[in-house]
Amino acid sequence: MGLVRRDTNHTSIRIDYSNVKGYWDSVVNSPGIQSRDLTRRFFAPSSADWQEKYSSDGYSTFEDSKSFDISEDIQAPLLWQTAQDCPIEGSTFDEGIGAYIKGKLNAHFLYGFSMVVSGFSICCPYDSTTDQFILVGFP
Amino acid sequence: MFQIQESSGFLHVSGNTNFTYAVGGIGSLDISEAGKGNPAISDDIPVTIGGHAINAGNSADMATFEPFYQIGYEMATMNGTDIRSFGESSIPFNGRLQTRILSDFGDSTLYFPISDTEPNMALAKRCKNNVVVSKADVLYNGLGNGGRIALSSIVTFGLKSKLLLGGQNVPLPIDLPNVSDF
Repeated sequence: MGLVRRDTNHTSIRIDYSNVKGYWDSVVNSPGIQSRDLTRRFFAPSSADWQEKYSSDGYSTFEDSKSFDISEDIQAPLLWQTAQDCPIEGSTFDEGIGAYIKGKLNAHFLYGFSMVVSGFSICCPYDSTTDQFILVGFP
Repeated sequence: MFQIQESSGFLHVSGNTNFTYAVGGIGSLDISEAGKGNPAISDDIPVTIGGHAINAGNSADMATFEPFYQIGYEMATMNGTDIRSFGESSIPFNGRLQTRILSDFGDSTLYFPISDTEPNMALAKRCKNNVVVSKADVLYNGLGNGGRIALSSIVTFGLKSKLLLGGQNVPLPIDLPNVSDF
């Protein structure tokens, strides 16, 4: 990497990262949609092509993979508010309100990520994305 | 020039949450007094498990990957005539309210980058939410015009990645796409 000229246009870096079994064989190490003179690596012009590759036959099984497992008990006090003493029939009492969320989160997740970058001289930001997955609750 | 030619990924999530949301007591409730706004949102504290840092040869160039999850909480108090108004935040309260919600994440796969035009059909395969309202719930009178209290939790899953390029002299930290869903 230290030998790469900073004005080069012909050097690319490819990053593939996943905890899904078979990501390498089924996705990375397969012919790309665009033709290139490089080692066989999956390479596609649009995210729709990537999505199709990810969900293609033989690769949509996640059962055998070693997932990122989460099991957490949560206990989150959100609020504890006390106010002035309240006189009731000659005695004083505190008044207060508490709110909390408690419970358990069990989750397993698997990920795959591939990226091709080229050039090195100037850093440019890349937008992160977050998507809503499910929404639960009362209207 | 550093350019991202292609970038794509997915998250596959399964599991569930079993959370109980509760409020109880007597008094005047105003979350805005906590100084964190209305709704008040908890601080972002992602939990990272595992992850990798990969070096390229002897240089300082490297890439790091961190799978993470994060549980955030929100609380709002609302007393305006408009149901979406957070302006009037002080409400009288006297009682105890508790709701337990079991929600299943299904076996869902989310693809990145997110498509604006095509819905993510894989998200449909999940069990219905199971909402249990406690039989011990009670509200005493003397609440005036009442109000609304909202408690919520937000669970986020994701993969944070970072690329450091530029050799040993000038490492340039570049935040790569943080793919996550909640």
